[in-house]
Amino acid sequence: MKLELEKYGLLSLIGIAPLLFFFYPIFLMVKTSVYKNGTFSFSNYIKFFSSKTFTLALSNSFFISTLSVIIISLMGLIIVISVKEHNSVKRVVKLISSLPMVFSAYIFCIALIYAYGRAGIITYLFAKIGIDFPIHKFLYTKYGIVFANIVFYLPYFIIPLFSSFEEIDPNLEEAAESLGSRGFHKFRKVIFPQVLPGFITGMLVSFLLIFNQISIVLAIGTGKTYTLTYLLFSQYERAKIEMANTIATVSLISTFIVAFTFQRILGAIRK
Amino acid sequence: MKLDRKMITLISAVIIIGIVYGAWYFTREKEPEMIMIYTSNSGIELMLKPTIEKFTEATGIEISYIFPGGSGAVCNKVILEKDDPVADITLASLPSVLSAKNNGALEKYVSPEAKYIPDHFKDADGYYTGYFAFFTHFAYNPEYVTDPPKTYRDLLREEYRGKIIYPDPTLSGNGLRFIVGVLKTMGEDAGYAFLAELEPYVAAHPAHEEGELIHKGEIWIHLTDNSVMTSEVMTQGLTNQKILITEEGITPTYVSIALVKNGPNPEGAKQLIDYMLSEEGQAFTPLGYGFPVREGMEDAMPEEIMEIWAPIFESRLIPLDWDEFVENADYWKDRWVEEVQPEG
Repeated sequence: MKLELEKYGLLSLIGIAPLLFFFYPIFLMVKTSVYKNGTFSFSNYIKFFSSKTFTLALSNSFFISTLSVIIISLMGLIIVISVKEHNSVKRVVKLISSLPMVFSAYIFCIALIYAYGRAGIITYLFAKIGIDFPIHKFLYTKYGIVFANIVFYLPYFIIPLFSSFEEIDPNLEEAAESLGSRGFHKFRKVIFPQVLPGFITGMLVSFLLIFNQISIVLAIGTGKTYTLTYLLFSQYERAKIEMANTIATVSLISTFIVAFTFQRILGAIRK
Repeated sequence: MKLDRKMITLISAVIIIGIVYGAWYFTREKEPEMIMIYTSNSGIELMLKPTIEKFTEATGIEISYIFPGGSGAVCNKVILEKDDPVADITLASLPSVLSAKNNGALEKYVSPEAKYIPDHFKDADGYYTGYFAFFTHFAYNPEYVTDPPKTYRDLLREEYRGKIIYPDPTLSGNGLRFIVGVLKTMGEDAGYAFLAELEPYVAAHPAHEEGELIHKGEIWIHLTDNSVMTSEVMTQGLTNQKILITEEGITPTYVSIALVKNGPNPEGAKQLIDYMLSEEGQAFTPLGYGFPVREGMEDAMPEEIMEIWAPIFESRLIPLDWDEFVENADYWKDRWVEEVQPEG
């Protein structure tokens, strides 16, 4: 009887915690977004979707996240394949990959500006040998944000991908080789299908992290490139709580749609 | 569990002590000699410390101060506490202090020293008076900008493309004062058209001033104010920047001093306000890189600061109507966002 009570008590706690700390705040957020001056209304959403600024911010968020994830996943795959057979190089790559994780993204961006900005050390060194290193030309644009995302979030993709590769059964590779499958054919037909779930999961995690980050947008976008997170920050700062909650709700729905799509893709692959 | 007599006696004693202590706490005479200041935190401590030392030495009245945050936070705190005020004085910049005035958190007080302060640095209704001023203007890196722009339109020179920054007016007071200055001098539609034309020359709209970037030459011209810039030069060694004032002029603003309504020590607070606005009190403001609002204070300013500020004395002021500023701020910001920003 006592055990039963403890079990149900624990289950209730587990059930109440997400209700209190996750669903209830989200409910309040969504509720505030559908009220204008205390009256139920969709006017915040109408304003959002009829404003070129808000819709541009939405498309910028998708554009920046998608482009960043595509480049990150291709670069990540190439890096992991190149070094997976060389244990010492792999260790070094893993170590270097873990470095951005210990910095705040904002500090990391300041370092990027000092390195690749107009007066940055890399730009200066290239200029010394007569090369106009191009990153400073687009550093403060949305492509600069993509560049910073790639450098900062690549490790978040690489490290789980290493694990996926390490989990491949070596007997499978040997069997493929004994049947004459080598090189790109072996990679396409045998290896990649094995790591595909990890690859897709890595893409999803990177997308969600990039879509919802604010530090890089603030430091590199510096008020010139509007994303959902920048407008969310700016509306909260201006105490426009109803509009801020509308942006937060649109952002949340976008995130759910992306996560759901990726889950469907994963499900299809696993079948 | 059954409560025995001892336990009941003990609980009753604790409850009675609690009630008696609570009654004493809430009805006690508050310490009359202490003055509490709520202040925003931009360099003000550097001028407050010597002020407090001198004032306490002369009067014996102790002063305490806290930084609830920026000027907005200072005013929000006195508004929230207006039924049981803790502070006696607020130090907050315009236009934030208007919210405290409009919400009934301030008491009218016109110091006898206020007659030495120009009208554009004090409230016409007498709720607050300027303590120190600061001016929104551009600064340039003299290593790269050899022939500084003389008008707003000179900022559109090809060599400045992508090398100017001004803070996001939706997030920064300086940014907003700059765009309002442009609108006031050019007219609203022409002003927004100019800002849109300027946009390709602007590399960034950060949330606040970025002196480090101009000092290093990453940016050539940026919007700042004399208080922030002087602090960067004097305390961080970011010396590679000079004040740039175009013919159109500069927008002034100020940190105000105000008496909190029903504060615990109104008489002491009035004495302190009088002292802070006196010649002796105003001489401390340049220590925190503030521009004294009292007339005839030029001799009290340190030479190295006067050198930095020299262009301000020759410039035209673009005075702002603060009631209009508060009323239109959202409209100006929204229009800037829609017509000037973003580039995509």
